[in-house]
Amino acid sequence: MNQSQIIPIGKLLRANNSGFVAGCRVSELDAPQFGTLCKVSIDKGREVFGLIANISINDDGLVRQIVSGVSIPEEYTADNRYNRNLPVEIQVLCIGYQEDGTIFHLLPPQPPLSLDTLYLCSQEELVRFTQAGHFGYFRHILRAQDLPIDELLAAHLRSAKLAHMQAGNKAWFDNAAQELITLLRDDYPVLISVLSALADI
Amino acid sequence: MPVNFLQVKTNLEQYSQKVKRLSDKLAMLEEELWQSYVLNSEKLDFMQALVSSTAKNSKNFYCACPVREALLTAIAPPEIATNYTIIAADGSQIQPSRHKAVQFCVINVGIIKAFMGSGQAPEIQTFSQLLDYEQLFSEDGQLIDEDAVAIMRDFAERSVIQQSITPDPHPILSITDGPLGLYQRAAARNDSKELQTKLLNIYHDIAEQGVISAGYIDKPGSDMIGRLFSIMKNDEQGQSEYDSKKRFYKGVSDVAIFRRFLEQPGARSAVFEMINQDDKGQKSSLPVHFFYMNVGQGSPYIVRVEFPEWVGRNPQRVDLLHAVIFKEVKVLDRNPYPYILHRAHELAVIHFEEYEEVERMLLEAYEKAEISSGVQSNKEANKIYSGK
Repeated sequence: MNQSQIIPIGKLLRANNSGFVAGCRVSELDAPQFGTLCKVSIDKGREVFGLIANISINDDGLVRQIVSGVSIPEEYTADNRYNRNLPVEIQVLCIGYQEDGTIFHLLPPQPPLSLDTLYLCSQEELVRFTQAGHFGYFRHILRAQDLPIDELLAAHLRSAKLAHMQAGNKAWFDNAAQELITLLRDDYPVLISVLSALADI
Repeated sequence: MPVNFLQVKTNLEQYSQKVKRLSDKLAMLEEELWQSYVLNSEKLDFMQALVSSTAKNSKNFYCACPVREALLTAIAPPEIATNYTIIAADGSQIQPSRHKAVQFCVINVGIIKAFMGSGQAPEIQTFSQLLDYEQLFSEDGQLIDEDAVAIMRDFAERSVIQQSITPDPHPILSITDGPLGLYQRAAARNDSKELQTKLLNIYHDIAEQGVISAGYIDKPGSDMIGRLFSIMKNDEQGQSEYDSKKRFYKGVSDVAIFRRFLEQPGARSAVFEMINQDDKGQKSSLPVHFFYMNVGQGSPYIVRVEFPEWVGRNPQRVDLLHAVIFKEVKVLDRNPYPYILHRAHELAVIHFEEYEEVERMLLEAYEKAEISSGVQSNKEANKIYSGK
């Protein structure tokens, strides 16, 4: 836990077993990145893992007014970014959980609660989660609706590959790609799309 | 129960006709006032002397008096200094209500301090004050009314501004929403003399630090120009006494005059002095100057900007204030209003959920202290059922 980076969150906006949406300040926007593995503690000994599947910055009435303004001093641009609680939403796709030290690539039994803190996972946690089992968490990504699963997989595998390489596990990425091919063998269009995205890694 | 729209509808035609008649009459008065305004636009000495002599013999005297610029002055916004600091504060309140289970009053002040030219985000802060229980009641034991709370709120805004001022190499301006001289309202209340004194001290302290204070009045309804010219009309007609209740140009707003010639976006009028005497003939302790300004981009939209006399006597300070206000309103140019004032309001506003939370906290504190809270009135309770 001490190795994790903490993203301060205003409020957990909504959650269910397969995902949740949290908010953060614009000033903390550097930390969460698309495809990054993160986690939330539900209670002692239990943590939910997820991938950051979307980051959206919504407007509000004042921003809409300012956008059409004749001139916007940079101080007031900064005011809107850092002082106002602009709703920056981080959508997280649940891909597993940890209970008493054991990782499960299953959906969590309970979703996170309001005001739970979202953590970025460390490299060690990323390695530990992704090498547990046999890529069972891929199915949560592949069945996600309304998400760019090819891009999400590419972003996640890119960071996971790097972590595994640093940990000395050079075979991990090839094994992951092989598993994806197996899972998508009956869905040719998605398979091609995913492989195309992975080719950019 | 819903509004009886049928009853309202049956009166609409008659209502409109009355409004039309009054509007037509007002339009004629406005035209006459405008003609007089143009004719006398250069006679500043005469107006000043007339106002001075009339004020000596009048009580509850209120009008505008030109300071040094001709009446038809229309000045474009000047080039602005790059670096200055602007502070805005706004307040909101929870009014104590006897219908609630507990009576309490919260005054919330939001303040924003922007260091223009620095590129940095402004500093923001919110101050929340739960009034002491004794403060909830007037001298005769009644719950304080909205006006009393509003005066305390306005005082809190100025007090917070005063506390936020720090040494600064650049000019500092402060702006609040509404007239600058709120103490006039306070002066009318016998229970606010201490507040009046404190308020004047604040203004003097701010002035000593060189801060340019301003009050921004959106959609002003004053008729100070009409009053000035009513005095002139009185004089023309050889009347020795001036009765403001019977003034000739009653009902003609200042806006109606200034929108006729402040056509350019950002243009300001001449600087005027606000002449304000109470029913005892006492002049205000804080002399106020003002100008009107067109903040609209298309058709003129006239606002009034008030500032202390010491600012009004200095053309450079007036220019700076003018330029800063124009820069502020351009940020929200769809509905021109100073951005920084809007943000102060945003910081100050109390939402209903927050009201409920404070009430809940109080009830909890009462329980801990073994104080029995009152009960909500049935009137209030039934409003909930009716979907108030």
